[in-house]
Amino acid sequence: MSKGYDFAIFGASPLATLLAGLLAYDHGRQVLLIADPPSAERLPRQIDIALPFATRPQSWRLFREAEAETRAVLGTIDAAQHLVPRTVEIVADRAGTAIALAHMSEMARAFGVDARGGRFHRVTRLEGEISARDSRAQMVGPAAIGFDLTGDRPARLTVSGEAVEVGQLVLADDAAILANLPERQWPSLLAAQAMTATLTSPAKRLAAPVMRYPDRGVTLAQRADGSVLGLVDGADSVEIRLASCLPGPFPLQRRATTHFQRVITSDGAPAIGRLDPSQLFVIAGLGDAGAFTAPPLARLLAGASTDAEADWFAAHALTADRAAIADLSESVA
Amino acid sequence: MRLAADAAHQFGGIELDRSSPLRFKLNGRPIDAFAGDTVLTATLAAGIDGYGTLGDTPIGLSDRFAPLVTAKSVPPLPMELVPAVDGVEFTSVGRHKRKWFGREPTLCHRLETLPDAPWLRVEPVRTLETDLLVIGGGVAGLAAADAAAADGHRVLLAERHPWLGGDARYFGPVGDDETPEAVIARLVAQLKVRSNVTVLTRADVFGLQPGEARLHRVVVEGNAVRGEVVAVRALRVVLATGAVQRLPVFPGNRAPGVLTAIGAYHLAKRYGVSVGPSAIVATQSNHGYRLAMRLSDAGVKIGRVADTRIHPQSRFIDFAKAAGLTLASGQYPVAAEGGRITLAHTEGPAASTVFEASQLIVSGPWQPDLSLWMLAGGGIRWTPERNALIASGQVPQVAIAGSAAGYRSMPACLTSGVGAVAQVFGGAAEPIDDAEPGTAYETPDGPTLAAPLSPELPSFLDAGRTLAVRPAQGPGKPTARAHAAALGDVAASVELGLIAPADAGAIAEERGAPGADLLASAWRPAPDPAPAGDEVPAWLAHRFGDAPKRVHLIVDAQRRFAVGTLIYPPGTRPHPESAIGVIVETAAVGGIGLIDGASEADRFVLETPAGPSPARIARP
Repeated sequence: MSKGYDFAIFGASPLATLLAGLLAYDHGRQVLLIADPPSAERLPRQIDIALPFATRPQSWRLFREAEAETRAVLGTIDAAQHLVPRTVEIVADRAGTAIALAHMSEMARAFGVDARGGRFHRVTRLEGEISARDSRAQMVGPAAIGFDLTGDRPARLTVSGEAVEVGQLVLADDAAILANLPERQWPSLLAAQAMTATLTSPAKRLAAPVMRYPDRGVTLAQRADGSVLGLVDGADSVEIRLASCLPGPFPLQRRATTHFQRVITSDGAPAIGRLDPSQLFVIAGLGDAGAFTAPPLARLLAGASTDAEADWFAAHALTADRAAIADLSESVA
Repeated sequence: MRLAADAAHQFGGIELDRSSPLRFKLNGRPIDAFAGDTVLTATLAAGIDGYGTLGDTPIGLSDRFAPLVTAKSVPPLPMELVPAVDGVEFTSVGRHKRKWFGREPTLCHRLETLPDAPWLRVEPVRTLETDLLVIGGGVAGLAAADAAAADGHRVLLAERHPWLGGDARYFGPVGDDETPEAVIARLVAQLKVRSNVTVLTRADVFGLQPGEARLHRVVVEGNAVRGEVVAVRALRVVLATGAVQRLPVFPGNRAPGVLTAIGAYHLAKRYGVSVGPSAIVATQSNHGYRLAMRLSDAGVKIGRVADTRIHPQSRFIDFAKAAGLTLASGQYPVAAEGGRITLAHTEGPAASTVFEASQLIVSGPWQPDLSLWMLAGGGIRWTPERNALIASGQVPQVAIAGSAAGYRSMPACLTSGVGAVAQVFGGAAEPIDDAEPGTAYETPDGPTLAAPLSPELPSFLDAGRTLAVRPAQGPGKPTARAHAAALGDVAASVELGLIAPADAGAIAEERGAPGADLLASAWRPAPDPAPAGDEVPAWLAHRFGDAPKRVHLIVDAQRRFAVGTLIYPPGTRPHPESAIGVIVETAAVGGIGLIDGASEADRFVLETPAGPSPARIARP
């Protein structure tokens, strides 16, 4: 006899883990989290900072409220120590980006972030893993999962060969989308983008612990030992773009490098909602701040959104008229 | 110490010319040696088996972890590859404690930071062109070179060690098969007479990309020693890089006097060196017994052979019993420090026994050396059947042979060498049978057991220069020095449950092929013009209605408004969602605002960093 779940969440990111935990614990749902626990030894594929790369006030409100709620949630699961305040500096090379950054900074100030001249102070960064062990969600590795996405019908799931009834399948992070959504079912709104993560040997001190160069497609985060994690968008001129953002000393040794993909939206705004015909629920385009959006996402899936949240999610659905929500692109590379 | 010249099993050192004694200095200390020694082997023979300290932890000197040495006429070169030269005053490279001229049996280095090999960033002095580059001079590499040369191809074989033959001799013959010595001698003799083969020893390939490799070679010409970087242009490559014996993970496993079995074997067989007169041998495989017997025959006092397996069966074990060695099944090392070696039972109570011996020889699992495979773009994955990382995927014109490809038996390694040549030249390869006759009656290698952590002694993940330490916090915490991890470190991390098997390949690839050093770059994106005229950027579209209008807002003749400043109707609570416009362009006075086209107001309040400011639409 097959077991049933209200939700099957695909993804090993902090967002996926928190989402599964909140649905199971706070909303009392039966949740299956499909993920291999991430190895701390792997190079990070993203930097989780509560700084939405956005100019729309509705998005800032949702992100800021969600951040406060996420901080409280992490406090209840003894994970508050993973949250650290960090200065983030965004450097604009192009005139258009400088103007966009000025708008973003004004919005950040309006929502209580200490922002001056491209520097955003005391931005919450998540540094550490979120464990799903005590979340009441059941965990299973992707290797045990069978996933039928053929034909014009809702996706079906098997666990260890046994059919499982699931109310809603959720692809909760980029890796889950890339691994499970067949190319033919990708909406034109979403695109896969090549990425490179590099860890350098210790470098000179960066101007801020987290640096973003949107016009060069580079994000840097400096570690305690001085080594720098660099995330670079796109596949062209990766090394010279990365090096152009680093302070040296040169030549600077690379300790580790990995290539992967992420999911971006063509209009720069988050894309959240169901896809036809598979009825998969897709969460994409949340950027660096995605880890801090689990509480409103859990309410959305549980049918418990506030009116403002419901409006925001409706506007950001994959099938909505999205002209009024287009935002800063995560990538220009 | 030096074993007797006529020690059994040629453990007097087949590389040495005992009739040619010599003396050099290392860090000011005189070291006696023989022609054929390396600086490392003579140093170990002189009783100096410590490299230095990592924090307060003494770290041993070994063929896998030794410093560069330099002299007046010798650039920094690997200590294990530099020949002992009479009268030369060598210095080991790196940070030392102040008392490095002392009499301690250590080079007294501080190992928190290790100098990079200087040749990694040196341009090649010359370029060699060949049809096939064979990397590794073990039996598989020799067979590959011989097969390709026999077909008329130009072959360059590069071997890191000063000798050819790899590790085959350690395993010995099986049944009536040709002995490794005979196979190696035959292949080396065949290569010597082929004019289309170049063999370079002491040649370490450190870079490999499609069509070109780079190697660093220690060149010995009489008493002169130098290093050179050579580029090798070769469209086809056979990787016969062998396998590395990993160090079992236990507290004190990098202490001076702890050696891998293969390291101890080569020291004795090649150079007649034993790190002291007595040894405990800890093994999880049958070949550990073979080494113990040979060392015993050569004059090393074997205190005990401990085996992680319970009542293992092997012809080597029967021979060891007959030779009178003390054997202990179901035991493994749990600590080593200052010549005190603690063995404990693998099952049952945690009772342990302490032994005193000058060395602990540990026979750990084998990890195929796939570093160059990853540099060439090859993939890696973990296989639980072998407890090792193995190659996955394909790299055009690159083939793997021998134990690097996962083969165990010598016949399979030989066949795979020939098969690798067929693979890169488009020929048909013979099927490979990797079965070893007689092994069906022998207990297979046991699992790798990790001893409990010690608060005093760190446990290292492997024996290489990464010095990666097993974390005290358990899974989920990155290993100390994790991002320098080598394949052996990753394999140990999987066995310890520190990383998921599914992630092991990706982690190894991340570290195995990080790419060349980053050079200074002044790259900048091409400038783009700011939005001109009435153009509204997409991220601002529809924010202030479907038809927003641009207006010039002023408050007086001086004040200017910054881009992004929000515009509100008077009397409105200043919150971004109630703004009716925003400054989108600076102006000589005031600023250019984009406001809701439906708004008929001409007076506004702007929220500036200095506080709210009134503003009005400037009249033309």
